[in-house]
Amino acid sequence: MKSVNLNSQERMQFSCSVHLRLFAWMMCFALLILSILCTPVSAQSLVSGDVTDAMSGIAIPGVQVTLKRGANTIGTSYSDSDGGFDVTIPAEVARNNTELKVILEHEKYAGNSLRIHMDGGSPSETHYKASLIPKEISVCRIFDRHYVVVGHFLSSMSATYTGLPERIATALTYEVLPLLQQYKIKPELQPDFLACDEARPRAVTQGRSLAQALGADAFVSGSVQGGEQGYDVRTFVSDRCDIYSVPFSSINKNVDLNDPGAAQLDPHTRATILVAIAAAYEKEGKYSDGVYATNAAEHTLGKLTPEIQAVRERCQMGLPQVGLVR
Amino acid sequence: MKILRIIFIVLALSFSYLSSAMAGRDVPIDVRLRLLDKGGNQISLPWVKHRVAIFAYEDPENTGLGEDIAILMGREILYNSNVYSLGVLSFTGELSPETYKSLSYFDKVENITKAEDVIFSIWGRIIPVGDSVRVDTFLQFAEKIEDRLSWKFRLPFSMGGGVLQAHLRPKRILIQSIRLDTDVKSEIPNAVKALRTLRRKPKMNAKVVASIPLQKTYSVEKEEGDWVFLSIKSGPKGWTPRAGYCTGSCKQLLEAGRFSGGLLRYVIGQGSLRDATASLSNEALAIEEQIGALDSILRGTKITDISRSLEVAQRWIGPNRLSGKDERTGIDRGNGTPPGGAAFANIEALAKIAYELHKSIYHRREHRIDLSHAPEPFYPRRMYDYFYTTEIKDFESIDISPHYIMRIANHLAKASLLDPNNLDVLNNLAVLFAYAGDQGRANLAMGLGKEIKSKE
Repeated sequence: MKSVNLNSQERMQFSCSVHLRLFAWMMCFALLILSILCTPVSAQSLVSGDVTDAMSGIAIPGVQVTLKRGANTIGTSYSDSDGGFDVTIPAEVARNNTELKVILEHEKYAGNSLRIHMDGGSPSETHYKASLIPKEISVCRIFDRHYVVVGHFLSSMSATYTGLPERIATALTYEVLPLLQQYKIKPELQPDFLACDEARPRAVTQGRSLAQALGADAFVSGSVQGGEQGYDVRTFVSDRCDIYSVPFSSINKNVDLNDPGAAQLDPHTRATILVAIAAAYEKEGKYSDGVYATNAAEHTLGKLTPEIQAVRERCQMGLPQVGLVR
Repeated sequence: MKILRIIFIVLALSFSYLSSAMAGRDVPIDVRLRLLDKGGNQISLPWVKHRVAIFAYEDPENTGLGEDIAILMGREILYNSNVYSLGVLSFTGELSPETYKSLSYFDKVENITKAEDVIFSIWGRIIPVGDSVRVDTFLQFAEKIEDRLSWKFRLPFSMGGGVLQAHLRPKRILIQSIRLDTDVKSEIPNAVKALRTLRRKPKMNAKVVASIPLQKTYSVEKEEGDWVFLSIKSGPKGWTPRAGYCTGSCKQLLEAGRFSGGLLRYVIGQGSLRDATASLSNEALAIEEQIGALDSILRGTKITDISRSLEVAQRWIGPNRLSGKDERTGIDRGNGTPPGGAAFANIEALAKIAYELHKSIYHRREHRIDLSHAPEPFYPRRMYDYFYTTEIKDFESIDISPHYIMRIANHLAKASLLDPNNLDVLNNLAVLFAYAGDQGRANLAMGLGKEIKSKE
């Protein structure tokens, strides 16, 4: 064995070199730990949201929230007293970026579901909003169809007008359907107009969430008030696709409620409903039908509103015909 | 033998002249549709050459006028369209959807239109508005006459020889939307009563022979002034008025029937259109102007006919789009997207190209004299003649600047975004882009056209 004698300067150099190496190793180790901690592989994503009553807008506690991938349940939770919920997405599921579904169930409400699109291991939205419809108005729901619900008309008087939604739905059927049929919208895409007096939103602003919860393209409701010579019938239209930030409102003044003409809606209201239907077509990828529905809206109103124009442009951007334009 | 043959021909012609008929079907619409589903189909009035169908007007608020208005429309077409060998079929029943998945209105009518082999169908609806009623009348052409309502012309071989086309649009038309005062509630039933009364002589004060039962087949045997002599199958014969039975608002209502009768005559080649009048819709006006413009492009004798077509198209589109009351007819033209979607943009494109072709032919023939200063008679031949007659060689060597064609195509492509399923536009874009040297867009237009056609 050979021994080496070092002088003080050499000893100092050797000591520095050892410390530097040690420091470098420690840094590498720290970076390794940090990178492991930061790797999404080990992160568990969350689906967060809140759930409210579609008619009143009030939070619903105790809703069972089930996260599903296909038929398999991969997580469950319950909404808290504020209606908020979180469900954990297992890491191995999050990694696959597959589409997930959240099922919302409560004994007093009709079930609802949310589609969760995964993007980079996390849900594409940070917070989901869902609303449930009370079981008594689940009769107002039609599955796999485009439809418009005509709900309850509030009355400031003692008399109630339960027949008004039925008559308005009938009037809309024969006013709006032929308009869409003129543009050859296929029967399976044409909307139904469903009278549903059970749908009684607490405020007109709830119309949108009701439309969303029911899966209807639009929700129509209103009020009846005594006027100078007859009654003033006010109508509100809310759409599912957020085209109108506040419900569209129109008024028929001095109406004789026994007169069948009371159920007629003005062209603005019909155009608003057509725009809502066009937006629903657009959301479904039926772009040409969306364009034609906006043409029907423009035709019925006699002018182009910013809403009609906006929905039309969105539909046009989805058309393959865009490739023909330069 | 020769004399006998001539007599036979005369008899046959007389028969075809006299065999206008109106038939009632006592089968409700929905029962008829169910029969069709089961494969049971027997057309009504098989002996007549041309058929139209009239449906009882939708009457959701029970004014009681639905069937009466249909009878008036049917008789107006039968008696006053001057079409030989015509059958008018009348149907009763509702067109509104029975259940949420059932067919309704135009879609329901379309199935019967097809099954009964009619040229077009007329239906409508009655909507009470305060003390008055609004009556909407729709006309729906059958698919089978698509070719009769089409216009085509081929480009010269030097331009690729592609065929440009146009069809009448829309095919589902709101002919009239009219608000009638409260008197009409008595005028219409009175008019129908007068129509159903058969008299011994063609005079209002002549003795009444019988009342025409509903749901029976009648034939028009002869005419005299404002009267027609009807023969009811297995029943009485007598005179009934063909004019003057409808006054006031009721008369305005008949404008829809009058216009429809003119369309029928035009479609089957037995005469010309009738002008749209103030009580009709802007869709009726658009149809009238489309037919006029397209006929002028292909059958006009002067280049000014084509420039007039261009002007007509531009009344509906572009910066010179007219709106408000039309000077000639009094019809409100509306504004924005015209009836028929891209139909007028397509006519504009065809007119521009036809104009350039005419101009080129003229320049060749007249030693390049500027056509814009030429008097009209300088252009005596129809464009059609250039395609198929002695001038054919001259025509085939014409070409128009590809840059100009590209501009036309780009303009038309924008219009296609408003009417994406318009097959004429896609076909024409494929032809025009190919000539202008943009094969990519030509292929896209062709592919889209095929795709849409396969889905129809």
